[in-house]
Amino acid sequence: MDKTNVDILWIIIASSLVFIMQAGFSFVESGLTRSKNSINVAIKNLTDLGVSVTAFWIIGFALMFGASASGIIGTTSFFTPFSSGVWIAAFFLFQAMFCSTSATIVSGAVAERMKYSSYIISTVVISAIIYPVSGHWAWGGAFTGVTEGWLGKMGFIDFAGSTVVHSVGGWVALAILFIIGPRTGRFSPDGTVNKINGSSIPTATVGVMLLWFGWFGFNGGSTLAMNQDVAGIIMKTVLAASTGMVATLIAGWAILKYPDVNLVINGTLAGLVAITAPCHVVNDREAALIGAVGGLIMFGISILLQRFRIDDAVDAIPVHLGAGAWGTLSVAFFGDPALINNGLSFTGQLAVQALGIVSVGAWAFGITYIFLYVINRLSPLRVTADNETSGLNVAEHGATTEIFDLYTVMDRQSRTGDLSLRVPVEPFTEVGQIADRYNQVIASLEENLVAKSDYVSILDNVSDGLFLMNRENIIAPHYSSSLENIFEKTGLSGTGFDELIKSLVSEKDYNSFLEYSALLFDGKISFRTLDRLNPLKKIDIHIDNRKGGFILKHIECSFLRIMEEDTVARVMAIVRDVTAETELASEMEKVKERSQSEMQMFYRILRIEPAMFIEFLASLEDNISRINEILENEKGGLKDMLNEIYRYVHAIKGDANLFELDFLARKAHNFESRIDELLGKENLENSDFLSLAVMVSELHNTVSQMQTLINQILSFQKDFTAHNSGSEELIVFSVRNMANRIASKAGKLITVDSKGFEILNIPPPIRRKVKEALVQLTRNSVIHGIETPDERNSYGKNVQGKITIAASKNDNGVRIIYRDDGRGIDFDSLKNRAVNSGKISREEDSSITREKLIELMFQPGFSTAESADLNAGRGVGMFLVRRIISEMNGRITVKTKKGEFCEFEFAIPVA
Amino acid sequence: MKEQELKYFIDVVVNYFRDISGEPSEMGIPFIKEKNTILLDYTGLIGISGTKKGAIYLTASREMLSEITTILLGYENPEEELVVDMAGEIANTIAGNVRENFGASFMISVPIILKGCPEDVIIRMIPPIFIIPIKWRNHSAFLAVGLE
Repeated sequence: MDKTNVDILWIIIASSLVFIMQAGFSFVESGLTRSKNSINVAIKNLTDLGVSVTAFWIIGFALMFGASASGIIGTTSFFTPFSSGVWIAAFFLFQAMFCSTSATIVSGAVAERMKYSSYIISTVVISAIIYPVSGHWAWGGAFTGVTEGWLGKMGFIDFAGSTVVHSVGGWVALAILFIIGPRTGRFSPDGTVNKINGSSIPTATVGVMLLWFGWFGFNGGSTLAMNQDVAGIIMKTVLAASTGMVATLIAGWAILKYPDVNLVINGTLAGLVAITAPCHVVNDREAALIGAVGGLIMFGISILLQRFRIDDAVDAIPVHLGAGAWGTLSVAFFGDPALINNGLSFTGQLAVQALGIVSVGAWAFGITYIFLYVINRLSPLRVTADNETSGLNVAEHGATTEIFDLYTVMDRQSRTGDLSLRVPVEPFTEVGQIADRYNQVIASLEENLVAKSDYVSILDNVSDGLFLMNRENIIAPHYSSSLENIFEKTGLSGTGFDELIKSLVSEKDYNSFLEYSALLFDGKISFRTLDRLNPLKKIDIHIDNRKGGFILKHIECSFLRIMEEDTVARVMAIVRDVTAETELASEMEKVKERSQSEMQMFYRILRIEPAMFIEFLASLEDNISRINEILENEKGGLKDMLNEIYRYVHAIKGDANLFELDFLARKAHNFESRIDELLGKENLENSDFLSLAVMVSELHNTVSQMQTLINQILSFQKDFTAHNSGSEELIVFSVRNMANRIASKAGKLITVDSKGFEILNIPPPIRRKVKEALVQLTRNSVIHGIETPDERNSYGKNVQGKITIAASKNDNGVRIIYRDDGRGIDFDSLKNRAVNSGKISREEDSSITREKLIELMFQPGFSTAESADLNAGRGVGMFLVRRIISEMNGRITVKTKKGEFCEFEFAIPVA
Repeated sequence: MKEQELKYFIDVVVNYFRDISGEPSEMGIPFIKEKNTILLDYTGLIGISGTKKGAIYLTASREMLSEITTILLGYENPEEELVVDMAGEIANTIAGNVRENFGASFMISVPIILKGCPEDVIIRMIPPIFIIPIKWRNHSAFLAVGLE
């Protein structure tokens, strides 16, 4: 071919412009995809330039422009020797750029999930086989200027490659998209299409401008000569781009209600692609229309792809395949037949254009799909989901950006809460500045956290309850754990302290605290004054344990004011649980107190033989039980009950005196007095017995105390005399003791003769009763019966009075004799007493028998003593004796001789 | 334990029975229990703390409680559940009255109702325990006071 230097120059310039389109594609694709994949997108664009040129040189050019084999495929010029001539060099250069353009179209559509390695494979396949073969069908022979490809021979017209370059790229991309699928998150399961925003629209727009600029060469250079058509072609190219943009912008604005920048970008490109095929055979108006329609078709195809859930990352398919097909068809629609000059009719041209589109499509789509489907089975074309999420920059190229590093550390920190991490700071970068500030924020947070954990640690472990309180007595959120333990309640923050203690202390203390709290917050009152007024300084709290009882704790509360300038901002309270110490101290106090009062008791008891004392205590308990039984059983009238009780109390008094236990005797005496009072009352009520019950309990307590003491004594005692032997001594001892005691008080001298008293003759069950009776008789004897030593002396008697006791057994039972050698029964005195107390009338007076008088003697209230004292005088002694004996079903026989003796004989049957 | 204090407790209970039924009620002869104590079918136990410590309880037969329930609520032959609830109500009211009279000086707990279980009761009372029979109609309930 003869080409001038100017032609060659133009081809070289045009090639350079097409080369720049690579930069344009790179910018557009980077701008429309996410920054985490930016490296991957960019490097794919650069890579496919090199790979495609290499592949094209090795086989591509030969298959496309080599000597044709039946119009299907070229067969010569492998490893194109373009250095063999100027024309071949220039031509190869131009065509190589076109091949690279077709190849690079794919990278945009499949961006963000196709593996770099897989992409390189697809680039090789396009540049080496797919593009050159279909290119041969349309443009085969262009190098020599003779049409050789079968499509070309049929009249197929594609001036600069709407089909050959652009739609091929589109078809390949579509095939790959079917294999690799959409990006994660692009389509929701319910069908929503989610917008994935590009990283930089400014970058994309620069890319579009570069592409547009490049197209000057793409279309303009396809004349392969500098001739008159070039200027017009370039102009129509520019016009189509413009109308493509405008039409798409208007349409998009109307439909979407806002100007979508993607449509502005892709509308331009669509117009450029559309005009690429027909630009040499249409006029300016047609060019404008073709561009506009191309844009609209692009818009439509874009929506259609979304409808079919095909994810084209940059809308490469709508632009290059959609507009490309339209452009190819518009050759028939608008092309001037005179300029086309291939003899085809309109329909014929249309048919062959369509044939071209379809056959190239089938070839490009088919080969790609088959080839890459197989490769996909061996090694997936798509990256893993994780890699897709973390971004191909990192996943494919091990490259990171500062932003990514910052993000990674921040993400880890947010998940683990580990404030010790710091992000990497890349100096002199914007991200580095952010990273630096971030580190400072984290550092100060960490400091606060560490400090906070120290305080929390203190609060958790301090043994006192610590809390802050405001004016309204509300407890602040951070308090020591011990506070919850002390009050046995959780969740105290926000509660009022006054409310907390309200149910735990008496009403009086609660009110005192309310008053005190008001004073606390008054800054004018001095601390010392306040301290004295603190009602909770040392106080008991009673926590209702919800089981009918209380948990008692002793606490000490102190309140410290926290001032802010001159006002009391808050109060810090310290609550100390001193239950253990207080209980211990009070125990010791009680022991001390008890000791003092018990000492007296103790000394008294010490003098008594333990075995005897136990016997005495048993008897005492027994009597108390009897009294209680009377109260419990409520038998008989109230007055009868009183009399019954009296008997037992009297016995207790007797016993107490026996052992010289004054404290007990006194209690019994008071008891007797009370009973007397009640007996004198007109109308007795049940409530009157309350005092008696109280006295019983007091007696009871005394017995308990004595019990404790004797146990203590016993534990020191090694030898333990037998119970039985004590008994014998007990009865005799009791009589003797009673006699001696009262005798010395009354100034009389007494001796007790117990030779005939054989204890074994008395069955154990009745011994106590016998003793009681004998003791009563002894008392009476010493007080009433036996005379003073002087008196006795004057009668010629021994100054010492004698009491004789004897016990013997016979077939009927036991026979016990008590005898004193005193005055004997004074019947006259008895008679007077009886008359005075109204027991007998004056008339009966003279006729009263001795037997009757003795009977009277045994009645209650019949004492000849002037007044009652601890020892005798209430006139119940004889009555008691009679009761005792009759309880045993025994009989009393009285013998007496005035001035000589008085003898009582008890005959007690034994079963 | 002083006579006067005992009297106060007794008055609260006697008055209570008299007021709710309109029929007379009176105390019987009081006595002491040292170790064991008297428990009828249901017992309302009220813990006391503060200046005096221990507990008091009121124990009554099912029949008596049934009759009271009938008077107060109008049901003939009330069921066990209702009777137990009634026991609780009575205990609450009495505890409340006691609180009114004595609340200033000592703490009165929320009462609990027990059936039998002498151990649970005894453990709270400070011996010796004063038992006061409370007569109403032909029943006897018992008020027990075990305070120091």
